[in-house]
Amino acid sequence: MNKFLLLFMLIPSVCLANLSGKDTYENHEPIVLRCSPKLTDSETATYVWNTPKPLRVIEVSDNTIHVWSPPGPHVISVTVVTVDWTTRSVSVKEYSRPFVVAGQAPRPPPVVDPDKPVVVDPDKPVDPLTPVETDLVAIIYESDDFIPPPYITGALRQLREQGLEVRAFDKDVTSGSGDVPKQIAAALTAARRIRLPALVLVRNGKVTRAIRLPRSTSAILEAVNGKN
Amino acid sequence: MAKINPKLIDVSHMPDGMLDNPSEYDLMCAGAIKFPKEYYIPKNEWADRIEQVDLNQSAALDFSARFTHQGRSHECVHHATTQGTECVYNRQLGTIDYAVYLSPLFGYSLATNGRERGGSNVMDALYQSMEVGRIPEFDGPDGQNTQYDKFLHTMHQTSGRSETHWPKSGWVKPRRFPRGYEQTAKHFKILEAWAIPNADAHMSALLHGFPIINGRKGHSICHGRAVKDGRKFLSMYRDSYNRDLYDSLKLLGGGFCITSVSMPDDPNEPTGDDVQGKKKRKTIGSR
Repeated sequence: MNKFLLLFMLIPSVCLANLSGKDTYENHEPIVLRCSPKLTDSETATYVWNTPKPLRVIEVSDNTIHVWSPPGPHVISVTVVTVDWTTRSVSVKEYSRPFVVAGQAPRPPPVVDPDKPVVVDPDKPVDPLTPVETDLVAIIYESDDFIPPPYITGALRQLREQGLEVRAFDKDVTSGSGDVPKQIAAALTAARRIRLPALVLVRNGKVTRAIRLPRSTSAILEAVNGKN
Repeated sequence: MAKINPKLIDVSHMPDGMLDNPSEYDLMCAGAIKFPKEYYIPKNEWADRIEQVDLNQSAALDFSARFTHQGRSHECVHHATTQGTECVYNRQLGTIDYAVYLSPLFGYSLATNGRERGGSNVMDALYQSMEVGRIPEFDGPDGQNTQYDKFLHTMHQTSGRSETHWPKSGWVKPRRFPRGYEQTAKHFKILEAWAIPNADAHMSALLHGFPIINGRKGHSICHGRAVKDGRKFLSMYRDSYNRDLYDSLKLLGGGFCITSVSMPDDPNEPTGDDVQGKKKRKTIGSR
């Protein structure tokens, strides 16, 4: 009888718990959710919030959260654990609240990572039929291991005659300020990601192709211009 | 290649500014590194390599934009070092279109601390070029005084010559250098150099496209091309008297080759923000 009575007293207290909030929020409108169960003097409650991605919350008190949400429909739930210290009983109940944030999410700008070059497997030849746009051709090497042979100078001369900027330099080269020269910084970063010596093509400061150094003048020209 | 006039080979020079030949160890103390043994090219490959170099125009002198003339000064070591530095600068940029003319007088006066006569040492030139760098001269590839407006600190080419647009009394002591010349000089430093212990290393460095600064009998020169003349191998050098001459193998060995120099952020503005117009003009001597 006593157990039945306790259960009867406990269930209504949890059922009356209320997860307050609106059904619809405007874009950028603050979203505040509060769980307010009716508790007796002998009861305490613990709240465990379940916030699925991409929602982010800050718990400002035990029963209140502030929510950051992109536009769209969402559901937040909370698990309430109530303990009655007089009767030494525990109840667990989960509540959920669906809501909608109006508006459209801004389209993120395309992310261009200059440090992430198009790296071609050195064991696979570059597709010579696919020229890439470029305004600077850089040959990068480590002088401890490699000195550019004459054919590279010959190739660079031809590319220079086409109006391209050309560079051939050791990977440790610096400008007067002691830093990596700005025009070749992206090329150097790309070259370091593949084995040196490397041929790196740059367009407007962005690497468009980084490959192991081809072994002939014609192969260098093809890597830049495509196959004629 | 046409046979070279024997009068241009192993020419005797009057002592005009080079002190003792530094040893390999001396040069390494100044900042050079030992010539890497893997870069020696066997003599039986020299002829083929010369052909390849000529075909591709990849010799150091193919990137030389000019002659210099030291007149009656003792600045030969610094004319040679300047020539070599300019060659490597141009090579890294793949063209002489961005050439900058540097001042040999600046280096010589700094190395001797203002002593006008008596010459200087190749080792000092290397150390100074790696530590301080060089400033440009007034004249540039575009003509007379064209670099005067382009750079914050400039100087004339030599104290030893008297062309009308250069000062007749052109000697400048370092204390007359404009304040802050390091700001410009740092953009034209040698970053890496290898000591040249012998003739084989000398020829190998030339075939790799590096200029070599060395000297003999009191005169310093900048070698820039390996040449085959009949059955003989020669080293062609750009003498600081407006001429190209040749040395045979018996005179080679010693000095250093330049493998890397400072590279500008943008070759159209070789000193970046340190340019005329953005800061107060500072220059040396009369033009």
